[in-house]
Order: sequence, then structure tokens, then C-alpha cells
Amino acid sequence: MPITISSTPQTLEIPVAGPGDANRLYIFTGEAVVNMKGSGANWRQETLRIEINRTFTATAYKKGIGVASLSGISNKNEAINAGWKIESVEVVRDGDSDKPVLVASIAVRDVDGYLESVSYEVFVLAKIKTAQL
Amino acid sequence: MIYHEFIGDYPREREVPWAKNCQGITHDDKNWYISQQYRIWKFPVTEHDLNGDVNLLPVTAVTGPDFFLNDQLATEDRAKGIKCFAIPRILYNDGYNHFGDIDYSEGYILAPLEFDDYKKPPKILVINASNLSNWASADLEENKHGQHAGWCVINPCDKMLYTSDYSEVSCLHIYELDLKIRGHRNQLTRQKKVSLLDEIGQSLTIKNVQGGVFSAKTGFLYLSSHAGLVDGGIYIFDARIPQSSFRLLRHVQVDYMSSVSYGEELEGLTIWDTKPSISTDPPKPGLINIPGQLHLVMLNDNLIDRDDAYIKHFRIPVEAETPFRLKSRQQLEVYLPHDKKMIISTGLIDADFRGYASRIYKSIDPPVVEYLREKWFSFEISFLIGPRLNESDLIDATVTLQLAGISNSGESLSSGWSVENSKAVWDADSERVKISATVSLRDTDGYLHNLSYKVTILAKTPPVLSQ
Repeated sequence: MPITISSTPQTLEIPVAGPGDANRLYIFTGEAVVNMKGSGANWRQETLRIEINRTFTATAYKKGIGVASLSGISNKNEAINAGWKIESVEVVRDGDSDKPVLVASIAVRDVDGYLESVSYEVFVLAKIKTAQL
Repeated sequence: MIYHEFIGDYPREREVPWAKNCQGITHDDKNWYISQQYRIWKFPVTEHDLNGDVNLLPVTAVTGPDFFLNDQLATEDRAKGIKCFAIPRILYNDGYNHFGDIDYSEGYILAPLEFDDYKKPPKILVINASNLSNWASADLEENKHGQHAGWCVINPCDKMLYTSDYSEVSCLHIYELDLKIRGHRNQLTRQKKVSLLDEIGQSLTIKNVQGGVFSAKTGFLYLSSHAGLVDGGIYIFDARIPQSSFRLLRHVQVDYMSSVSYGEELEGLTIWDTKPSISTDPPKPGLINIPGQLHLVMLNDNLIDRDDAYIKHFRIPVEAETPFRLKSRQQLEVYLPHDKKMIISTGLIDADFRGYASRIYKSIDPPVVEYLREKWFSFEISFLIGPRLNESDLIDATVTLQLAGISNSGESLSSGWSVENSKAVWDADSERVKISATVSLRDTDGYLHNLSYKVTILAKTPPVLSQ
């Protein structure tokens, strides 16, 4: 599944005093449009990658955590064995783009079942140089 | 509403040696105990699968009750720790000939023992559970409807012994019992009785009560009733605080055929969350096929020869040690100005809850079945999160719980999923933040697999006592 960018990104930046040399907490929220269609009675599983539109150097990025929930589900016609799942969630820093990425294992069931969108919150603890502030 | 789910039978339709006139079941940490009319068995879970046979020495010279009063265990089964306790000969010769549903408490088995044709008040036997040999007995007072004592149980809350009549039970009798064995005599002191109320507080009468058990975890009382498909089954009462009445929380019908032609009979029951034990190494044959938390004995009475035994297993999430697990757990701590600290915890709750089997039998003849498809069934979840901290260091905590995994098997009819009443409060016992919420489901084949959570704790620095 290609990298998904949030349709409604919001950011909150909070000055913090640690731990260590961390001085910023960023909260990124939004809903990612997924449009994932089921393939039948068995679960179709994919890895969802929601890219946060903010770069952090490896030194600046201290830690990231996240949470994701179902925010849009649907079923066309009669629902038979329909289902929608988020099985796991983690936040990693992508070394190529320098951006935090929420990585979630998602699944959908029923040939006409759709996982439309996923809402998320990503928290990043960072050390930002004064010049960047 | 207490959520439950029937999982299956194991053993199922088995002519095991403990099947004939099987009466009840209980357990300690390492053993099952099963009562029959004439004897009580002890089966170590590390050694014996309840579906398996026991090697009995052939006893050809005796028949009838005496068959069951003779010690028949083969040497190899004794070596496994399997034990068998028959009605003491002195009591049997006096006319006592029927054990009921048993209970385990503090190293002792509590066994009700009825007199032949109920002509005398029954006794309560206190039996050393370790050797299943030493015993003492105490007399119950006469009760209203004959001389029954089909079951007895110790309430872990007040340490009192509870029992009841059989046919028309509107109250339970409570006794103080000295849990010791000095000689063969013991003392029961009648203390009081507690009334049974239905869900709206009206007096409730349950027919044919066969077994009872208190949950140490929830404080609920579970009574089993052999009153047929409509009125029988399992009655769950709120018995969490000492009171003069227990109010019904839930009546769970059990699919069984009580007519004479089928001869199925619900007996005693016990609560044991066997799942945590299953994960231990090595596997225990006595638990590996025993799922769920509530276990109900059913007998198929063949009248003539050996009976078939069933143990019905139910999943009762509120009785589970871990009805769900947390996964994808992540935590972030940040220090804030003014000596404050914020802890953010996120993750998923892996639950696999299922909607209630919403089929209710209103009558058998004529058959009337009501389907409660549009009824929500709710249950409570709670878990601890974050570090230990003093109450005075906690400034505030918030939680958000959201749906993260739902499904429906087959055709979806009136399906629904919800989470509400989410709360984050300081828990005095653990000195941690406790998260609680109500999860609700609709439709018999609706499932809730995952919930996502985000907890934010604001505390004074340094809040952490230990991790």
C-alpha cells in the first residue's frame, strides 16, 4: 500500500524541558484516506503508512508513539462477513525522508467492504536547535 | 448486563468412571474435584485429562451402592495422585447416601450429604483435600421443603457456608462453619438467610437448584438450576457486599434436554479461569481442553447402566484474569515547566468480544423463541496504565478509547459496536491510573476485536515511585 498523507493534518508544538535534551513535543493528528476494499470472506491485510509532513534529523528525533482508530467504514449492498481492523500501530522515523511515519497493520473483509479512513495521533519528542525554532 | 458465551462441552457424552450420578465439581490450584452420589474424586491437572479413563480394579463380588463404596483405584492411578473418597461407611450405614455439589476452601472440600429419601436433615462433610481421607461432619438444621442440601459453598467474602433447599428456592441459608477436622464431628451454626430477588427487586423463586459457586474475583454468586430449558440454567446474582438479599444480574439459559426421554440433568458448577494455566509449560492435560471460566456439569442419566458426563464451558469475561490484552503498547514521558510531567500511553486492546447469543426460550411446548437482535449487551473493561505514583502527585488523567477492529460473521442483522463511559482514575490498590469503559455489542455474530487507547497523565515531578 502506498504511503498515505493525511487529508486533514493538524499540528501542535509544545515546549518541554526533557527528558534529557528534548525540548519539543509535537502532536500530529488527522484522518488518512485509505479506501481499502475487501476481497472476500477472508481478511485482506495491508500495511498502512501515514507519513507526517514534518522532517526531523536523526539527532533531533528522540521518540515517536502513535494511536490509530477506524474513522470511516462502509459496506455496499448486503454485509456478509464484513469486518475492519487495525491490528498493530507503531511510529518510526523514515531515514530517507526524515519524516515520522505511523505504520499500522490494517485489514478488511467482505468483497464489498471498505475501510475508508483511519484517524490518527502521532506524538514526537524532539530536540530542536534554537535556529530552527 | 453480564456477557457470556457457551464455548462447548469437554468431556462430551463420556462414560467416564465419575459419570454415574455425577453431582458437582470444584477445584483448587492444581486439581479438579468431582462428586458423584456416592463418592468424590480428585484429579491432578498435571496428570489426568477429564476425558480419560481411570483404571479401576475389577469388583465382581459387589453390586449397587457397595460397588461405589469400595476403593477401586488401580496402583498406577494412585501413583498419579488420583484419589477417590466414598461416603464414610459409618454414615452410609446410618442412611446417608447422596453427595451434592461440592466446594473447595482453604485446603478442605465441603460436601453436602443427604439422607435416604430425605427423612433426616442432611450433613455437611469437611474433607481434607490433600489426602481426601480425613473428614468431619456437621448437621444442617431441618429446612422447609424436605431435607435437601444439593449444594454448599463457602463465600470468600464472609467465609460463611451457603446452601439452600432444592425444589423451590427463594432464599439461601447461611451457616458459620469451623473449617477444621477434630475427630469426626464438626459444628454448624445457623446465622441468617438471604433472599433472592429478580432483576427489578421482586422476590424470586428458582426451581431445582443443583449447584452454587461464588466468584472470588467479582463477588457474584452463580446458581445452577435443573428446571428445564426455559427456567433452568445458570442464575447470576450480585453478592458483592453483605446484604439481606441478592439481586439477579442475569439468567443464562442452557441448551439441554431435560425430558424423561432424553434424561439430561444440569448439576453443579465451578469457576476457574483456565486460560492462564494453559500457557504454562509443560501443558497440563487436565486443563488443555477446558476453555472459559465457568464450568457446568451435565449428566445424561441412562437410569440403568453408566451415565454419560458432560462439562459445559462458558466464557464469562468478567471472571477472566485477562479478558483482553494490551498490544502495540507505547509510552512517552515529557517534562513540563513548573515541575510537572506528562505521560502519554497509546496502544491497542486486543479483545475479541462477541455479541450475545440473543435467543431466548419462552416456552418449549408450544415452542416459543424470542430473538433479541436489537438488544445491546455490555460489559466492563478495566486495566492499569502508566507508572506508580502517589495520589497527591497526580494532577489529572484523561483517556480516549475508540473502535479499531470490528466484524460480523455471516449476514449482518442489527449489528452494532460501541465504547462509552471511558474514565481514567487513580487506583489506590495499585497506585496507578486505572482505565475503565463500557463496551457494547449487538447481533449474535458481531465481534469487537480491537480498541485503540490514548491515555494522558499529568503529574507532579518526580511522580515515579518505581516502574
